[in-house]
Formats: sequence, structure tokens, C-alpha cells
Amino acid sequence: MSEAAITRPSITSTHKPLWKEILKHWMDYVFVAPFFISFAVFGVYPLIWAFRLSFSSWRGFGPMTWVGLENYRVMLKDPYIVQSLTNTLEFAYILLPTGIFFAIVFAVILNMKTLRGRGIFRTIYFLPYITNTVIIAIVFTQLFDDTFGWVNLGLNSIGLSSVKWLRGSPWAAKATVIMLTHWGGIGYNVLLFLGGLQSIEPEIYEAAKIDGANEWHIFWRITLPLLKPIIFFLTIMATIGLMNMFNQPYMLTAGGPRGATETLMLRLYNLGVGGARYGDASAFGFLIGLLVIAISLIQIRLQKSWVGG
Amino acid sequence: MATRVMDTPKREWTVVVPRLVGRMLLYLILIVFAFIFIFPFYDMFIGSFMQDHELFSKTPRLWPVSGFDTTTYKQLFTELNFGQPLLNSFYLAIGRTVGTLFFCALAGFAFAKRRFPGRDKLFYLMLLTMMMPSQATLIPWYLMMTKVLKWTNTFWPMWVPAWAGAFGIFLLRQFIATSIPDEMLEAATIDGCSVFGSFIRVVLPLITPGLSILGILTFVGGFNDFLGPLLILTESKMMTAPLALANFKGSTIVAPRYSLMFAGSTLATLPLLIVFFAFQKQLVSGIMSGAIKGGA
Repeated sequence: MSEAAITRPSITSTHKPLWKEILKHWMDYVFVAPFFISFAVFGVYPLIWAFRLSFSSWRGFGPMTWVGLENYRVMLKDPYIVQSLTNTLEFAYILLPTGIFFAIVFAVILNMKTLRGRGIFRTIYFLPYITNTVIIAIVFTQLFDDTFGWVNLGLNSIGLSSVKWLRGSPWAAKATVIMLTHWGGIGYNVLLFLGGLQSIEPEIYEAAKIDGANEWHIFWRITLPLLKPIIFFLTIMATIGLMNMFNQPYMLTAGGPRGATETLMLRLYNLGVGGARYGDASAFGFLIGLLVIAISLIQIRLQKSWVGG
Repeated sequence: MATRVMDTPKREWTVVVPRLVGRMLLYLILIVFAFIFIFPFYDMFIGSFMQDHELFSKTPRLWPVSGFDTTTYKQLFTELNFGQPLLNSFYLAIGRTVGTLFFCALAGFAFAKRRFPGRDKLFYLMLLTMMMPSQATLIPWYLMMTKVLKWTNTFWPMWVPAWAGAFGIFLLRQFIATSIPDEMLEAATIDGCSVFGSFIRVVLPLITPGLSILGILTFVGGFNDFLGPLLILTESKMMTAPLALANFKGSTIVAPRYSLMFAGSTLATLPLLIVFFAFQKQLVSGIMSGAIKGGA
């Protein structure tokens, strides 16, 4: 026991003190500093400022007045906020599973070695991803026009009646926003899953075939379980992205008709930038932020039981 | 699929015909969706050469009947000065890309190859910040840029916070850690290279695939950035292409003119298509391999 007490300091004394070690590596800290400085200045500082703002009333000029929890109370009771939250969640729980389902289907098809023109289809499906949402929205506004759009013309030609896509019915406007988002983003998901499929060793499939498994079994028992990490990765990233949905409804429907496509981000923008209600908007931002963090944490929890760590 | 070669001797109709039908069905599905993905591009391109009464008629056409009309393009450049927003978008995208490549490579190098106290803790802290929801910071970010730093109508708000981004640092750290052996850096040090010197002479040339992936993603993201410019840029001479197009659409004084918007959209899409086709291989393989790293 006494020996251990003696030897311990002698080990640490061979090390240089921490501050000397840090000084010696000053250059490495300079290399990684830009991220931390920029995070502190553009992330943490505004966040602290906004936290104070969320308990105050301020319209961009004059003094800030302390109002306590009033902003939070107003925001939680605001009917538009409830609507924008349900809309956003609705978009998320329709877009997320369908997006993953279609992406896996396309990835499995495009991964077939005997299929000709795989590269061309892959490129075509990915093309919308690099296109600006504003531009996509402009084109979709014309395609989905009530009277002159190609979509309604197509519906008419097969004997169906026109749908007032953008300005008439709430469900149709939601559907249009969903279609636009899928059109623009599915190609990226397809590429993610293609990468996952190609990383699966062919020996695993061969072994399964020797054991007499058919294609359907192989997909459910081997392919899908091996894609789980990507499904999980995509779920987390897409949830954060979808909770941020702004460009599509802003450009396509401006949140209408009757607030059917108003998302959290759009409401936040209208409150803060449009209405200059900075206090309310900050409180609202914090509420959404907490919600997003809570959802992400639940997803990580679920992943641990589902993927297994 | 590969095992099919083995069972080909049994060429029975009951096997071949369903297989053929299945294959045809697959192609049909793929072609239908390819059409869905391509048609809006075609509509935009061909619509830019049409007049508005042709675009909005009860019998819309897939081809401009009265010939290719380029007046909208001329009008776009002369009356509406669309060249300026296009240049601004390039400027925004290039400024963001150059800074991002430099700062992310530097930090990625330090996190991948240098040993200093607290390195891994700092790295995980950085990854943790990626989870921070931007909703909470949108309004304070806007106030910070416009009221505190007074960066209204400059590109700084779209550049500086984006330069040392966590995603880029993470991406390049992975590239550096897997593609540069430690021995190579040790050899450079023995040959008298400083830390920064070996970064410039050894690391940068060896991670060009990683740099090009991050470069394209950043360029496309910068060119397409909408929310940032919407909040910051108010002067017409600072407008970016997406912002100018959104203004064409949102203009209430003049009725939105689709031929004009389509022409502008075509011009704003073209540079990205060129970049995409030039770097397609790197981009596609980069996203595909990124899945494995990010997912596993």
C-alpha cells in the first residue's frame, strides 16, 4: 500500500504538466479553433441572448421589458402554433416512412447487377436533389395549376376531375408539398441505400442461397437488417430536416390554404422576421428546439433497442 | 441474381416467361419514375422559350408552336438585370466553398492526425453541436447579423458561420484518417516540414477526392441557399438568383410571368447541372460511401 502511494507521483512526474503539454500543441488548437469560435459567436451567444429575449417584450428598438413567462404562455395558447405543429408532424410522419420505403425499393431495383442502364436511372433520380427548392416550387406551381397545369390535364384525360391543388383544398395542398419534397429528396436517400447495399458482402447472399432461401426471405432476413444503421441515420437526419421545413411551403403555398401547410419554421419566420415579435418568436424557437431535441433523444433510445447499440 | 447462370440449363417456359414479364415490369416502373423526375426540368426548359399565353392555355403544348422565343431571356438580362443575381450567387457559393475547404481541412487534419490534450473530447463536443436545432437560433441569428454585427446586405452571414462547419470537419477527418498513413507525415517531419507545411504539401494533395465532395456539396448548398439571403439581403444589387426568382413569383404589382421565371430558373439550374455532371462520379460515390461511415 505504501509502495503504491510512492510510485504514483513518480509516474505523473514523468509527464509534463498539462499546461506545458497544451502550450506545446498550441498550433493544433489554432487549427480546431475556428469551429469553436464560430460556434460560440454564432451559436451560443445568440442562444443566450435569445433566452433572455424569450422572457422579454421587444420589437427591435427601444428598451426590452421583462415579461416573465408571458411569451411562453401566449405561444402555447396560440392556435396557429398548434396548427403549425400538427402540420409539421403530419408532414414528418407521412414523408419519413414513405421516403424510406420508396428509397429502399428503388435502391434494391437499381442494385440488380443484370439491369441495364442502372447508372442513367440513378443519375436521373438524383438530379432534383441539386436543384433549388425555389425553382422546383416555381415549376410545380405551373404543373399543379388548377386550370392550366399538366397534372390536372392528365387527370382529366383519364376521366378524373380536376383537383384544386394549391389554393383550394387543405389536403391537396399538403399532398402537393409532400410530392414536391419527395421529388426533390428521394434521389439522395436512394444513393444512401445503394451505398449500404453495395457494402454487403456477396458471400452472405451466396451462403443464404445455398441454404435454400428465396429472394423474398433474403431481403427480409439479410438485406433489411443490414440496412438498419442507414435507416436509423436517415431517420434522425430527416427528422431534424423535416422539422426545419420552410422553403417548400413558403414558395408553393405560403402556408395556405387556411394554414394547411403552415410549418413551424414558416410560423417562426412570420412571427419573428415578418411581425418583429422577437420575444414571442424566441420563446417559440426554444419550444420547438426542445421538442426537436426530445424527439431525437427518443429516436436514439429506440435505436438502441432496435438496432442493438 | 448471380446464381441465375447456374440454373439456365432448365429453360422452361414456366420459368422464363414470368421472369421476362417481371423484368419488363421493373423497366416500366423505372421509366415511369424517370419521366416524373425529368418532366419538370423539360417543362421549365421548354417553357422558357414560350410565351405566357402558350404556357397557360387550355391545350398546353410540349413544344413552342410559334418557334423558340428568346425575348424572355433578353428581357431578363436587359430590363431585369438578372445577370447580377446570377453573379452574386456564384460569388456567394465560391466564397463559402473556399473558406469551408480551408478551415474544415485544417481542423479535420488536427482531429485525425495530431495528438493533443482533449482532442477526442473536443471532437465529440463538435459532433454534439450538430444536434442543436436551428429553429431555436433562427431569430437570434437574424438579430445578431442585422442588429449586432450590422452585416445586412453583405455576404458575411452566409460565409463566416458556414466556413468551419461541423459536417465538413467530420467528413474530412474521416478522409484524412483513412487515406493518409502516419508514416508519411513522420517522414515529412524528418525531412524538415513544419506542421503547417506537411498539411499543405502532404495532406491536401492526398485528400482531393474528399475536398471535391465537400466542395461540390458546399457550392451547391451556397448557390441554392435561400433562407439566409432572404433574411439578410434586401438591396436589389445584392440579390441572389433564388431570391430574385422568388421575388418574380411573389411580385404582386405585376402578375407573375411564368415564361420569365422559367427562363431565370433555367439559367440558375444550368451551372449546377454542369458542376453535377463534371463531378458526378465523385459526388455519387462520396454520398454512397458516406452512408457507410455515417451509418455504421
